[in-house]
Amino acid sequence: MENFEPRIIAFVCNWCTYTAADLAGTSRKKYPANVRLIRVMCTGMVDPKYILKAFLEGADAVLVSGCHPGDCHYINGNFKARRRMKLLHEILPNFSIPKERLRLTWIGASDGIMFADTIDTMVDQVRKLGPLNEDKRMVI
Amino acid sequence: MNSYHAIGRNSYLDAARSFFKSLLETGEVQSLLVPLRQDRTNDIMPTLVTDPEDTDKADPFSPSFPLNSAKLVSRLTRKKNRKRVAVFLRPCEIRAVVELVKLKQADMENLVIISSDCFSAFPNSVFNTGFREKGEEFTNEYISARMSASFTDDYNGSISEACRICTDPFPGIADIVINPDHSDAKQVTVESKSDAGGHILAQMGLDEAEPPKDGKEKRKKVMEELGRNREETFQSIQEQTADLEKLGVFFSSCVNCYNCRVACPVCYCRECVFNTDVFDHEPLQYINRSQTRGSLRMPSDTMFFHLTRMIHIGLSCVGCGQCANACPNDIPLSGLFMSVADKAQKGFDYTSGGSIEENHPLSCFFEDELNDVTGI
Repeated sequence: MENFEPRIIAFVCNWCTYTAADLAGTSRKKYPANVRLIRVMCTGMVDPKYILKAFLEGADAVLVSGCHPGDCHYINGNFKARRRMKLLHEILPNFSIPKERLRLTWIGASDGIMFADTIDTMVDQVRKLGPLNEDKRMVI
Repeated sequence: MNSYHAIGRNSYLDAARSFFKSLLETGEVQSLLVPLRQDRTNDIMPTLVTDPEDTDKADPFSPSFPLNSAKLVSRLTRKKNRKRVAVFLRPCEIRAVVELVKLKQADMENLVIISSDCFSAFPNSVFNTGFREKGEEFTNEYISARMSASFTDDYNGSISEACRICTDPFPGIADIVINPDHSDAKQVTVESKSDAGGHILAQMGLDEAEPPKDGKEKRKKVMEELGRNREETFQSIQEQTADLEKLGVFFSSCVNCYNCRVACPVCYCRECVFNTDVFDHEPLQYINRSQTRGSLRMPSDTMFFHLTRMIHIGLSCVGCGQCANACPNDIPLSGLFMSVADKAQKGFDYTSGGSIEENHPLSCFFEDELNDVTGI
């Protein structure tokens, strides 16, 4: 897999990580184009089905990113997201989707640099892991 | 709190029936949901009995297990009412009721749970071809054989996969436990496990009895046997479904009938997302999907459905095996779901159906926890 370019779907919260991504852009901080951002109002609204769908439709990795604990715009959405991610981390590795392919991070609105660095690291890691589904025919 | 009583009759079933009859006669409960042999067909279905005389066809120890009665208990108790109902449940059905109570789908206030040590069940396909016609004599024969060999008898090959790897065949939460006696006395031992149960038994004027002596050792032996089976099955299932491609092969005969979902006692949504517009794809979408892959297996979204079910019920799965029982194409779902549920529940240090007080893991959270889930 010499020329493998991972496809990463990122669910980012409107109030923190999306703003951080915006800040990375306005400060001309570059990050790999492998990531497709999907803005959601809160990580607490990321249904596990969204994540499953992303994996089954060809994503090599999924990132869910929102406000730091205590900073949630909706008070506790990110805590609920964390429990759901824990559940996915228990179930998906049974089917060779390791935790490295599904990440949860807290990136605040002012952390534009941290956002770019996170995407950098994640793309590197997933590139090493290789594609998730080489034969996608059975997978849906 | 625990009191023991013995009822002796011509057979185990007669002894159990006389217990059910006098239970209704006390007036402590207005109705009783118990597996009952149906007229003419010999099918054994949960039946809500109010007339004490009608208990004469009750067959609680039969290996027939057509559905998980927890869903019926939910129907009987989901709204408050003053009539008290007693239900005879297998241990896995009790666990499902406990989960449904936590999910606000059932209520225990006016519920009296009666149970027994479980003698395992046959899949419908096995029970309905050969054993159903034999009638109640078979039930008496079956429990005698099961008890004398401590679950390693000739019937072991007939019992369902879920029962072979059962997590706990002994009732945890129950008011009254009624068990065939291990001696050859053709009697049942009735035990009260709660104050409510004790109160009811006191009204019935039963003979006092000694607690069974060899119970603990037999239980330990059974649990060890089941644990070994579980380990073996989980390992083979994990090999069969090690990645998404293999999982696709595992589900390749699935026709999206969703029987497994309907049969599942803890899958409780009134309207399942898989029946909504979300999965009414545009015709063009199928063509597009096929074009990106070269071909598309239809009906689609099979794996999505099963993975979603694992997420939805993994933490509540009680291992009753009704999903596999309901599958028209004999996909061994129970082993897969039980192995995934085992991991999920261990991850949260949670046991489904273990206690009413324990919160469902997705219904609560703490600020300082699971710090290893976040970060890169």
